[in-house]
Amino acid sequence: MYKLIISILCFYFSITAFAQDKYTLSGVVYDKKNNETIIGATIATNKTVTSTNEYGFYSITLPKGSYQITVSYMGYKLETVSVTLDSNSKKDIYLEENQQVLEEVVVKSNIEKTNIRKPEISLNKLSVATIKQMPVVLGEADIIKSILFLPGVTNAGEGQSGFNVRGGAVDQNLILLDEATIYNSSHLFGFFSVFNPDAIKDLRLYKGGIPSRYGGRVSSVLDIYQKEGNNKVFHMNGGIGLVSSRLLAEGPIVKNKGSFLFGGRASYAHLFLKLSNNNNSAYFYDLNTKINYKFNKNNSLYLSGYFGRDVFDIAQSFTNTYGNSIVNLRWNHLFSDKLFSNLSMIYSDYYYGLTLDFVGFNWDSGIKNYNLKYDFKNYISDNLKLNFGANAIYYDFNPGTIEPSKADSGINFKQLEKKYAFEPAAYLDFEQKISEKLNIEYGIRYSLFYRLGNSTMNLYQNDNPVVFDTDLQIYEKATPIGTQHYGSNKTIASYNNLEPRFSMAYQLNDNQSIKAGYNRMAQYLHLISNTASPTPLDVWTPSDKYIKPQLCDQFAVGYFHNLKNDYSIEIESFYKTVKNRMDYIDGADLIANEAIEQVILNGKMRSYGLEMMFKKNEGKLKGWISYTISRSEQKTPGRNALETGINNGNWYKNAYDKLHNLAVTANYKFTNKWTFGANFVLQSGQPVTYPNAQYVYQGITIPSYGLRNENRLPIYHHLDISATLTPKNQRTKKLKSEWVFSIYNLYNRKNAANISFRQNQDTAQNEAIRLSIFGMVPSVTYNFKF
Amino acid sequence: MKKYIFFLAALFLFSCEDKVDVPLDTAAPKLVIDANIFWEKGTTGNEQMIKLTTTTNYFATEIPTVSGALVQITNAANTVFNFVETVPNSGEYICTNFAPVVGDTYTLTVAYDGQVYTATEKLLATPDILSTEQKTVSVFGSDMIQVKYFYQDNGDEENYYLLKVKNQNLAIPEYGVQDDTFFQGNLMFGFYTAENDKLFAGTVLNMSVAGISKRYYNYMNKLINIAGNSQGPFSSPPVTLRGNIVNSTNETNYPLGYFHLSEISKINYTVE
Repeated sequence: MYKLIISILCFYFSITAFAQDKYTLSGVVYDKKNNETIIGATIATNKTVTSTNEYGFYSITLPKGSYQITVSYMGYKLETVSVTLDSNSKKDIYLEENQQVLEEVVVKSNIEKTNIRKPEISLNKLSVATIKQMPVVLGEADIIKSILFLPGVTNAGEGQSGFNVRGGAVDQNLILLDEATIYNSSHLFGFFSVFNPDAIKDLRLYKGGIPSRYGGRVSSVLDIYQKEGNNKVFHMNGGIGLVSSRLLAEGPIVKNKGSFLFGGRASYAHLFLKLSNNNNSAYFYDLNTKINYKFNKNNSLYLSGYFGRDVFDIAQSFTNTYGNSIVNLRWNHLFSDKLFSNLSMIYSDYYYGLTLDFVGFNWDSGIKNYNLKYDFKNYISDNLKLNFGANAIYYDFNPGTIEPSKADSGINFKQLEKKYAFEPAAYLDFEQKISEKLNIEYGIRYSLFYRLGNSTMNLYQNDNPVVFDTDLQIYEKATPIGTQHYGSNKTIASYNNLEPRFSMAYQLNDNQSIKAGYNRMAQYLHLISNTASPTPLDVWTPSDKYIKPQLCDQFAVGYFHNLKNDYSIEIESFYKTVKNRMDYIDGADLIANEAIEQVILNGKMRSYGLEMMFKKNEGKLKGWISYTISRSEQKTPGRNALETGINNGNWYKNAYDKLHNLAVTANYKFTNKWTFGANFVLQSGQPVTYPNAQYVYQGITIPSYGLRNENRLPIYHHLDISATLTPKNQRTKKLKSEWVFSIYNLYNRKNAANISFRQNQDTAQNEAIRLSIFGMVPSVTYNFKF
Repeated sequence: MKKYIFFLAALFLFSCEDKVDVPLDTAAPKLVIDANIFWEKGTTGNEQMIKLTTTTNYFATEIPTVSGALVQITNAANTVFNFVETVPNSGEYICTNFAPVVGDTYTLTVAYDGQVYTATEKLLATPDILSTEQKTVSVFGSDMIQVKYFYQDNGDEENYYLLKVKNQNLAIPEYGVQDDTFFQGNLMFGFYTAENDKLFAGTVLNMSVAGISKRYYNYMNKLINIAGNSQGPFSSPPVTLRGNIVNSTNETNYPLGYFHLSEISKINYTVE
């Protein structure tokens, strides 16, 4: 890896030797009101177009001369700056919001325009403003719920955790909050996501054409940036809803140089339970913090933190706590006006704890990681930008500590063997303008993975931890023939992968382009989960001798068209395959299983589809219609001719396979006082397996199942509406407020979250029971800012 | 536990359950052999029954029985115990002279419709039920009775147990399996609770424990999961249940069900 970095540096110096008779203009684009940096603002001259990076930084190199530079960003006034360039110079740019009334609460509301020029394929950007205007269940703006309206994004069903991108599994999404990995994105088993929308600035969802700076998950990258905090004046804002409330404070530490942001959110439904003398509770809370300080033009420091927990408690006999925490210290440094760098030191962890007091059982598990990351962006010339960097992650897995929760418990203490791993990677990525019409981005990532001691591995006959009983035609756990101990930091297994990435945009004319992308991704961590939707107690496990890294290849092509009147169309098609996707033998026990390799078989996944999105970006009426037709399947064949494989070795649909998925979201600004919103979702029912027979055994009836996921739940649809009331005459007041009224599932559709087949305990008759989670749910939220 | 969590999450919000009609396909009928030989401790264990039925449509109210089969168990000394369908068309094959011995190996043979089905198992020991315990806890504002019954695990070996509780207020029994992974050599217990309109003072519970093999543990674990509930977001995919009985005439036409032999400890408990 060192060699690679050295060669990158040599390369860099050799390139900068060119480009002498040109000058560089660089700086940062800010929001005028609060000095928040703006990510992805467009900086254009008559010669060149570029955009700001994740820290608001831009750099353009032009021949000597005078230029009119226009800087634009959705929801902000276009800013034009005149610059006479006769030396390298710095220019920070301040953009002003379009909306004058009730800034930030209603906010910059234009929808992200389609960028036809950039070789960004399969990328969706959403501003928090857009997210906040979409009606959602219980009135809580929600990042994960919002991205489910994008083409190619679904989840297994209502109230289920996580999200699925282009037929990928939930654990195949890399979720980054200020660059730190979030292992579980859900509160309350998926009813809410862990991100407080007030603390979030921007998000990007990479569904394909993933740049080489990202790695470690095969399906998608959800990159979320927290706000930095207003460094001009102190502000507070918040919201009071039916289920939870939020409060956020931000302000300068040193005016125009440093700021802080501190936000908290908590649910309080449990307090009502307490009032009614009910000693059960279920609640969540999270805290977001960020502190930044700009030392000078070339150096800035950022400290980000997040801490969230869910707590369930039933009469103290069942107590369950889980959540994520992250800390990230970052240093932005400009080596020159063309070379931007960011050094990050990141810690993140996920904790899961469970106490079953009636059994006297206490369980703790979790994953911790330490990540050191150094990224560079070199604005070599107008036509070439180079991103490069390296990172190294050290993982510490605790699959479970089991201990007695009280003195008279029959439980014995047990520490499931801890696991350790190290994952370094380096990448190179070029953004190149080949001609006025053709832009390409290409890169490569070299990732390595070491599963490390201190650990003891089981050894098996023929290295085969799963055996097949040919008489009974079932897979069974093999019995280890011995064990091998690996000392601290001894390598148990290692892998490395070259991951090429490529994307291109070819402009047909000013308004139309075609794009294509390819990416290979490697994933070394696996979420051990055998359910339709992951549960919080599912544990992450590293690749090892027996569990191989997942490898994904994805191809995507797209057509992009900006129409008149701020309409745009995006059409994309993708094909994706994943190797080494693990599948579980029938009846695999995953909880507290120390030898998970004994219940796992190696399978593969494939998914393909066509996505369409029609957007209205600006105006009184804004919104989009997205439609996806796709398929997502898994297959685990037998390892030899005698074995049956899983599901008889046939392809079967994943639980999140949605053949048809239509989502409409719209927002209409009626007057300054009233804004209306609506969502409509219509999709194929979730694939499920219905019984094709029953039999009686030991006095109870047992359903008998055929092949997996051959049936589907009934079609899923719901319509949601919202109305936002902004009281008049707020311009002069310090306190600004709004009311959001919403109704989720307006016509009270009883969507089946599942249909279960059971024998009635009273009548002994078999019956099919539909569980629907949300009927019609009205809600009201009050938001304020001062 | 997973079911419990889902119940919790669903209850917490606005979920509702209702009975629906679902059109279902019906697979070709398969033979089901329910051959559980339980030797109740303190009895001779001479009288035993094996039941033969077939699969049918999930919503059918009648379970087809199988008559005219030859059913026998042979012990290690080649003594043959014949099981005879004494009540015509009952599918119940009864033996009155079975001779159970802990640790002995037995072979089941069923011949029906030109196919021969066989399985071989050992008769396993079972610990005694030593004591019971009753407690009332408040769950979501309502009092629920919890009953435990205790038995001693053998610390010298890996043990697996099949637990059964029949509540007189419910139409069907409930099953559970346990292993001693976290309890090696300790006092273990069966745990039972139900809604308070089904479990109250005076309710009689028939509770039992039986030692089972690891393979039967795996089988019953899957079976209980399938029977109890299925297809929730937190349930694992339905599995094909394969027991230990092999069709020696035609391997692919396998029967459902299991051949198991063990002692069983039973207790009748009246809720206070």
